[in-house]
Amino acid sequence: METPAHKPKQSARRTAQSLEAHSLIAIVFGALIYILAVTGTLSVFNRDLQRWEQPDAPEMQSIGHQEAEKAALAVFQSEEEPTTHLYINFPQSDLPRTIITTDTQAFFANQDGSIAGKETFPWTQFLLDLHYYLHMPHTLGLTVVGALGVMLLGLSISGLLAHPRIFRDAFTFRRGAGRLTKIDLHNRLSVWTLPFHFSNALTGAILGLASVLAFAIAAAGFDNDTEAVFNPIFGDEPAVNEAVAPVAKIAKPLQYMADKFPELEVTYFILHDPGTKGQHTQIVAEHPDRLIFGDYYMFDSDGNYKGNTGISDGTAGQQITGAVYNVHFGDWGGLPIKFAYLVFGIGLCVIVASGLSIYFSKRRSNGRAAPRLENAWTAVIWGTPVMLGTTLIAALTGIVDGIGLVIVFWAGLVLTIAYCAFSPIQQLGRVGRYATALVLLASLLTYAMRYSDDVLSPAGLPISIAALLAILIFAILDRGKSGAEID
Amino acid sequence: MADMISSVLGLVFATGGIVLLYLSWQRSKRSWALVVGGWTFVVFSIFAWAQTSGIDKGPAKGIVAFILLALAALSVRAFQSPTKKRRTINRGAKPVPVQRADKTLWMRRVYDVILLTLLSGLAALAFSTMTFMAGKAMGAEHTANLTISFFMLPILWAIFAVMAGYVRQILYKSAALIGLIIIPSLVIPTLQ
Repeated sequence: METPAHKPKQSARRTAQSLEAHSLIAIVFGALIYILAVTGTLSVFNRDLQRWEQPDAPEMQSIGHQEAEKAALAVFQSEEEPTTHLYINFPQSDLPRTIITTDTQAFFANQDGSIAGKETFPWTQFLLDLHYYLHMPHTLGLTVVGALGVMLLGLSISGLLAHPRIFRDAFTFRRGAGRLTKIDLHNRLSVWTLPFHFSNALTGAILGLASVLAFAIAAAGFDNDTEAVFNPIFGDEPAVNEAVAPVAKIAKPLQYMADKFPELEVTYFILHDPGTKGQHTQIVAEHPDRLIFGDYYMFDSDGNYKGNTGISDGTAGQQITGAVYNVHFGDWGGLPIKFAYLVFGIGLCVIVASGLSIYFSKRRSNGRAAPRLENAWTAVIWGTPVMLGTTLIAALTGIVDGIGLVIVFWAGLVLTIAYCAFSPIQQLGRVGRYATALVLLASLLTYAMRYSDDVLSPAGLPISIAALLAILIFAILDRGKSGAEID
Repeated sequence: MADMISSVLGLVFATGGIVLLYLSWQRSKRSWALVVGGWTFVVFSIFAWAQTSGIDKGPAKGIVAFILLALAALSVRAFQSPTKKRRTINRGAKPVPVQRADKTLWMRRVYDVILLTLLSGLAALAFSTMTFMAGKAMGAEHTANLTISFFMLPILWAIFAVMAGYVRQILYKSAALIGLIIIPSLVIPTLQ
């Protein structure tokens, strides 16, 4: 029987149990959370990547309303099957292109409203699908990703509970001290970037689980009608009337927006059920001083204004829900905020990676080493960027796209993990870093070969420079370090 | 111009806040004056940033700026700290014992995972739905009610998951989670 003297202190027990919860969640979900952290960090730049992937597309700062209408009608009339939605994506600072999209295809428009060519960005789409759905069927994938966001929240909560010296250690950093350095890095980054990773995990979980909750609420109180749950926030759609009618006016509502709301930035034009009597128009306009993704401005088929949904000026619930997407993806403050999200995102990757490395290192010290699992974890850390780079090369060659990229990524990652787990590779971290730098270099070379004329263009240069900088950073990180330190 | 002044003020306050917190950390005894002063400066900084943009975007910019400054301070501190002499670990010489978890431990781990995913998730879903339905029954505004439930679901799930990992008594945590599923499920029909 334990005497009071031998009983562990209450706080020590609380710390130990919190650490158990923290480790359990991390061991089970760490790898998938890490993949989401890496792809999420890259996804902040998804429009820049999209632009980089197709640098020869026509670019413009803005497009005239008549020209936008001309381009949209040209694409609509080229459709073999009637589309249920017709979109115009207007030029934005990070994607200065006009894109006309239907249910099945997307085309660039020239400044004069003529059609330039098909839009295709297989790698960016692959990246977004990985981050949104982990390449699973959409509803399932979104729910799983949302649940992983919950687990990241759980890691934040259990991490805080397991950290009794949170204030006393606020600025502690022991450099070159092996595992202690890793622990300091993990804890300091976790605490100081808490507002970011907590809000990011929360908004990600909300985005992923909203439909599940809506199903439950609809079943409980709205006769299984999920639209009745969401409509008060995002607005409802008029009744469908499939009778044929002339296509709704496009230039007129755009002109209305320019005249009545000159301070807003029109980003999307959406025509629902074009060419039918039930067609209606929504224009999404950004409010530069707000966190919300924008507000919907509604028009009838004659281009008469019908009011806005209220995401910018409606109820508090509408305004808060309207901000969730932008807060998650860092799409609310231009390039400075994107760079801040890049720093925080890299921080989150380091937190997740170092967390399990510390766990395995502790196990080793306690005589409970798990070398295979430890190698497998290192393979996840470095295999993820390596396989992302490999898929990028595959996409740039134009040989592989869509499902092919998905297979290359997952098969490659699983094989890498299996190989590393069962092979006694020395200094796996260093090998992974070299491999990442190498695939980045190879993808840049592939890009240069494919788009030799456009590499130095405004569309091609920023991401290419960023990739070069990343290679440089990997080289600097390796300089003067021993293999053990690096691993 | 006003935006510029507010941004600069925001940066100055944030820097001041971090400096005060650092000074407090350096002392061997906790100085509440420095701690409170530091956090007050941080609040002032966010308030200054709030003047630069909308009601939501301004403070968000302030929080981002504060984290970046804190990370910068931490980086300076990390580079200034003396390098500790590392213990040499001869990895090759001593074979590292590999311990395998027994069957009971594995089963317990699998059960814990079920608790923190499925049962915690269901409990959070049931509780959030019940909260929404209670709000609806009391005439709460729909969008505010729904938004609260949207935020409640992941936060509750995370708390229940941590609880499932934290509590060691299997029976106790299982009963608690099952209760958290059953009670809202019984209450929801009464709120319809």
